[in-house]
Amino acid sequence: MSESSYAKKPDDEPDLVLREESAWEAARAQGFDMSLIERNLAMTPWERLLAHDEAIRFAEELRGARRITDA
Amino acid sequence: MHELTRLMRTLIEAEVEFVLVGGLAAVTHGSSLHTSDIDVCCRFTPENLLRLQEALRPLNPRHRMTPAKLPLELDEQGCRGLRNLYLVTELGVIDCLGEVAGLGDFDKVLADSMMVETAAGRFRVLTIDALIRAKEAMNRPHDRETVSLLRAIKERGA
Repeated sequence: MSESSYAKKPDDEPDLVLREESAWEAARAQGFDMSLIERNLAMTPWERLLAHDEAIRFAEELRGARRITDA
Repeated sequence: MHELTRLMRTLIEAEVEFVLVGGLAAVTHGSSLHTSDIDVCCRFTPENLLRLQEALRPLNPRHRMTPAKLPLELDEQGCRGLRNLYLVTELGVIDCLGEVAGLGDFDKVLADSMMVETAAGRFRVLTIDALIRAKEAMNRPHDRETVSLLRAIKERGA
């Protein structure tokens, strides 16, 4: 092993370099289901808008079904 | 009823000059957060607003912020001085903004937009960086959530 490998660490060098958290991991840590983002990114922009419409429509249907049950 | 894509298509086919902003712009970039309206930044000239009105006419557009939900009935004189239009139609809610917080007026928004080619035609949407700036400027809880997702999407280079 070369002598330089045993050289003293400079005083200003940190003992541990923390890896900066990625935005992706930060979003996952916030509780977002990132598999939904993966799925969206596999679509074209227009397909994303259509899928969004479909999700909203489905949510409205569920709300309507609940009203019937509650009646 | 929410048929925001049909509402979008109506604007595209009528050649209304607009840029998609807000939650649906985030969806266009890949966000999984849902929104119940369309936010567009429009050029607030009489020509463009009358074109918008003509496009929406079959959808019974009304001013959703007025207590009586008054019908949209613009004329050239009435267009002058307008800054925003908050409308409800038979296909959903559409907010037409003359400017966007954090970005500025229509020309600034246009400069911060990109063209999207779709099966329904071409339209402009805020770039992901501009959308992040706009959402940061609004800074409501759901805006902050959207920013988190947009940063993640940007990191993926999408």
